[in-house]
Amino acid sequence: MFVITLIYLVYLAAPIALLFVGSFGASWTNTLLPSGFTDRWYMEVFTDPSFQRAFTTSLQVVGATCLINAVLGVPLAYAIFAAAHRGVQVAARIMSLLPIAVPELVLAFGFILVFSSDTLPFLGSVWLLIAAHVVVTLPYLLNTLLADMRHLGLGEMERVADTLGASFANRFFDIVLPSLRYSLLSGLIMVAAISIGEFQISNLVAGFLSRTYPVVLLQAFYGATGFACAATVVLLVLAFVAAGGGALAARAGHAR
Amino acid sequence: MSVSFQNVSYTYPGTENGVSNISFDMAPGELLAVIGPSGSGKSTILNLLVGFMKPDAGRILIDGVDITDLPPRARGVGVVFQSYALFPHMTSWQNVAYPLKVRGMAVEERKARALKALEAVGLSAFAERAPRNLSGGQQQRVALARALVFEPRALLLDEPLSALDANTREDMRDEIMRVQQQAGIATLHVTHDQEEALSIAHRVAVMHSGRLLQLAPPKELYDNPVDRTVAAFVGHANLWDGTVGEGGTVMTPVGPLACDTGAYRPGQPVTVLVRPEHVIAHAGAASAAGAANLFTGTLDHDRFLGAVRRFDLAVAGGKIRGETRNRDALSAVSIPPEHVRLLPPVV
Repeated sequence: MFVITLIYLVYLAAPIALLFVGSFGASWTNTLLPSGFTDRWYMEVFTDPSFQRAFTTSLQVVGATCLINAVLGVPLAYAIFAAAHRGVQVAARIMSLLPIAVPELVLAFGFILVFSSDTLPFLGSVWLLIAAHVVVTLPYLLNTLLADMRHLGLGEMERVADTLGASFANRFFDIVLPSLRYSLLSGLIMVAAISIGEFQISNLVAGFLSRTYPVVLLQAFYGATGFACAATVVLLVLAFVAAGGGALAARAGHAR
Repeated sequence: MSVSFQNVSYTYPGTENGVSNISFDMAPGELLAVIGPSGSGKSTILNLLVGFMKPDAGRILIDGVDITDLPPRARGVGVVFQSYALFPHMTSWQNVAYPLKVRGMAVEERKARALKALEAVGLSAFAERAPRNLSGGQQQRVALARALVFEPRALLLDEPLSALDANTREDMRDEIMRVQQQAGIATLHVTHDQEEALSIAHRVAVMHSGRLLQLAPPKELYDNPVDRTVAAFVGHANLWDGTVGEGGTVMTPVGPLACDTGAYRPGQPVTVLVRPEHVIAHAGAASAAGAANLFTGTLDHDRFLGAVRRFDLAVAGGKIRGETRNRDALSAVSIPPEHVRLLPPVV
């Protein structure tokens, strides 16, 4: 069992380790490992205007996606949770799970069809890109929030608050929001991690000037190996920071 | 402050379950327990009074004011739930102060009031603790303080003790009674535990299949149940179908019993009730010479329960259940005629 675990971990970690090694290697052609040490690939990535722009765009898209998720997600999850009618709950769940079930390519093609028309000529705008990211990520946040609502017994807490004289607004801001702060945080960091790495839809929907980091990264694969490695490591670090933050938030939530 | 149910009915949508035509009054300061098996409608009564459900018919009044159409938050009724439902992100005192906060009270004043309420339930030292760092009994006390701090017009307890271990439960039982008497507030206590109900309530309401069968003080409920269902639900009982005979007797499957037949006439069907503790145990027929309603038989079930021993004596025609402190061998029982109760027959 131990050996299998070890092999699996090596299998998992080896490509990532190679990326790191490659990003600092001066030359790497037809050998198992690169030769020489250099920081020039990172310098090139950081000074490349298209990478700079993509990096900024990615951060903007992630930020806006998280913000919109937070604003939409909490009321939406709450509405699904509190819906009196079971049919409403089922319908809402199917709607919210659809973007996970449908291949992103299908979703992207739909976006292209609809938003390249003369009536809705938004293809290529950064706002359409953000909207696409919201559609893809919102279900993850909803599921995180809904699971936490059930786990906390939010329904009973609200009933109590109702008997104690709390209005709907009181209950939402005093009970619902504070109770969900940890799952909202960890859900949003998951959203950020997904949004940072999102490639399929971004590649098809983004305009030339609003390309996100992963889309531009694909171009790097056709150039120098060291440059591609360095550019990929940058993305990896971004995603790790987001995922690690999510894990910490989840742990803080468990300690409650 | 008084509570009044007037011909209240409620049916769960799409079912025939609910409660029908419930009427009762609670005096100010009265502790009324509602008991009944699962699905009897006792929780429905509570939900109707809290306002989570609206009756299909009838009215609910508090202090003579019709609250039937008011939402829960406008009713001014304090509730302690089975799960306590404390707010996990607030400390004890913040939980207790919450009803005052939503009423717009300034923070210093509501903290002072909350601390006083916590003191009343003996938890002053735990004011800054989060609910997760309190025991079940302590959480229950916080919930009780929270339900009383805003001086509600009535207090509702929904199986508040069922999640506690046996010892804590007895302590909390006394605590609830003490605090309730101190506050002098009409209290509705819903429980499936009849012993709990009999021990703390001024009056007990027995629910069955959505109907209120009997509402009476504990002793009266136990001694004079209105029918077989109540008799069977409250305490242990020997219950037989019988027919009133001539000259102060009643015919039962175990044989004729001498008793006061009261207003029943010979030939009328009745239900015969004898409480086990009224059955007198004898070593044998010889030692019980002259006892009325004497039966001999063999011991069937025989359970030692500590203070008492509960047994079934198999006699011709059935079994007689008794309770005794006698630890010797038994082969006969007698039933004093004054302890034979006749109830309406099962229809």
